[in-house]
Amino acid sequence: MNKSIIYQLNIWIAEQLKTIAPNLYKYKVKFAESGEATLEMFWKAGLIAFVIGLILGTLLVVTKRGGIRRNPIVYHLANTIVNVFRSIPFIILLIFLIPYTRAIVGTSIKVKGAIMPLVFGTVPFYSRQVEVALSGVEEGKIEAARSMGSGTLGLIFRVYLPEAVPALIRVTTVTAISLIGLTTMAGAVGAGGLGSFAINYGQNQSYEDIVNVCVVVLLIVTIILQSLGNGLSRLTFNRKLITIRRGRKTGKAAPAASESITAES
Amino acid sequence: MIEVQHLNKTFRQKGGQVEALQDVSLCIPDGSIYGVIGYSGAGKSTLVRCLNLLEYPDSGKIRIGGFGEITLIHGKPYVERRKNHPAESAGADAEPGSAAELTEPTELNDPVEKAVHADGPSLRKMTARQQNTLRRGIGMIFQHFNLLDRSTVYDNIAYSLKYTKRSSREIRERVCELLDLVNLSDKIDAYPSQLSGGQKQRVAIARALAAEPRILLSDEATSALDPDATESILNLLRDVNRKLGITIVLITHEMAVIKAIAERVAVMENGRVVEEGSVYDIFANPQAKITRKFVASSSLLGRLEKLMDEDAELLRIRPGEMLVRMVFEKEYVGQAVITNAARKFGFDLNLILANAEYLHGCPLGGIVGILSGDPEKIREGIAYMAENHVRTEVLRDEQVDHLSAEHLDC
Repeated sequence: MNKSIIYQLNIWIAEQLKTIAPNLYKYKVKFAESGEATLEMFWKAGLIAFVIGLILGTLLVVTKRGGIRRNPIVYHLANTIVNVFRSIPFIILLIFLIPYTRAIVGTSIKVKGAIMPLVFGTVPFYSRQVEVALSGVEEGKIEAARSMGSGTLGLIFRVYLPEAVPALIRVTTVTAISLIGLTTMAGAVGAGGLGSFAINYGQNQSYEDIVNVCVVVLLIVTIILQSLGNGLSRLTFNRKLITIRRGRKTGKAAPAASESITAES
Repeated sequence: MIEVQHLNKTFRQKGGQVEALQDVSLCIPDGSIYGVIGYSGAGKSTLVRCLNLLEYPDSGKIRIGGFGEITLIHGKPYVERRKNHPAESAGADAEPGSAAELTEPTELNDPVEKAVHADGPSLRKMTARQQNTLRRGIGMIFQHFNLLDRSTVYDNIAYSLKYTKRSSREIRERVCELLDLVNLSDKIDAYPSQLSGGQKQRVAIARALAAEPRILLSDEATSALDPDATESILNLLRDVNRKLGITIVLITHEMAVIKAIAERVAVMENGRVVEEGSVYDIFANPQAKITRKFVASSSLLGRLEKLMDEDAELLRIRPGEMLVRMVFEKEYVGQAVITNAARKFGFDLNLILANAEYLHGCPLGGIVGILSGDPEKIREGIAYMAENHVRTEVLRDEQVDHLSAEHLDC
């Protein structure tokens, strides 16, 4: 029964689409494929950029002057890489990287060929953002942790990263949204995606409705990402994402725990 | 015992250099509460941060009970390499407060190390692990608490316990024990943002004590607290010192804090220790100008300086009169030395200010008054009082019209 309702809903949406955006309806398969390509580029490039950016950003904070493990060579190297790649406009980076992408990934076209340039386009920006987020962790906390005998790794994994989680979520959201923007340019290397769909099928054929729908879809994705980021960042502020209740045997702690939870809400 | 010898530290900045520590030598007895007082920028913070190597002095020696001697050369810490190093015989990480990693093989590829090696005892660079072990044996609390905001009270206190070889159950027991000590058992699952300033500092104290250090460094721990919280934190620190026998090094810019709990105090100015001694002696008989200023700031008699500056009517004297400050110490507070002297030498005392207070159970009293009578007799009287442990300081003397300015301008 449920299935039939969903089915009918789909039919209804299709009908509406047909009247609102007849041209898009004509290319609905292509549209779905483009959406899929965008999504694939987004999560694959995003995941890689997330990991590399986090590492690079942490490296920048840790090795800079006054950092917990000052290392001018590593810092200047990382800093230069970030600066150079940040100053290249993405569309040029995309073309510039073609031979290298081909050498490393095997192909420089389609989604597979777009991921590497997307990572290169995102990582520098994200590293800077991570650097800012981690720099926001108060010096005093680092000092306290050092006084308790934490070494470099302890400081990174027990103080810098956990304390910066809300800020990291915020900067990750910003980066994710900018990454969506970058994926639309990946059409230049034939990766498809909503961007090239909007240009090739909408703009070039003067089908305004296609362009409009693409804009709306990207807008919705952006709004979802932003509110997800805001919500998570708020949730993690001054507390863990999920409070793990430790099974404590001391009777004293149990009522206190519930008290503090009511105090929170 | 904590002993520092000839510590020097210079911060080089673009605008020039700041000499934060200049030839600082101190000896802090075990189990005592030792105060370090000074205005901001006096170097007191740098001094304590050097004790647990959060900051490296440029040169000097630091000897900390149980850790042996740390020698600082060109801003890098070195330890003695001896087979029966005191720290070496102690247990591993399971027993915090002991440097256990001293047996690592040595490579003399460091030029400084080689140079040091050539003359004198064999020294080797202190490894990061040794430094971390040292720090674990020294607790520290801060003005702004520095708790991890995204960890509960429990996790904050358990922070350093995770570096020890304790099971999670032992950690839990230890945390509960500490929360009991700081009287916050009901806040175990609270987040720092849900606590008041005083409560945060209590958590910070529990956290600093978690790994059973023998030394607790307190960097302006009460400066951000209201008077009530300050008092309760000071009481807690005193308790910790008495119950656990932990040496506390307390930095502050408030003389009241020193007065409340410290036994000995060092007064710092411009990176130097200008005066050092028992709190009672410092209060009874401050020498350096800055010490006088600090003492004045926390005692009723301190108002005198202000009155003198304002040239108050109250303190004006006529010819033949003398404005004096008399200080009596300890057992002599209760004696009628002054009236005896007045009777014997026939002078009058016009009382202006008087104060008596207890410092660590010892009474300390002072009187400011105007003496009138035959100047010769008054002088004899002052000498008599001095014999009887009443120190008299002539602040104004109409006879010679002399202001003993050296004691008074601040």
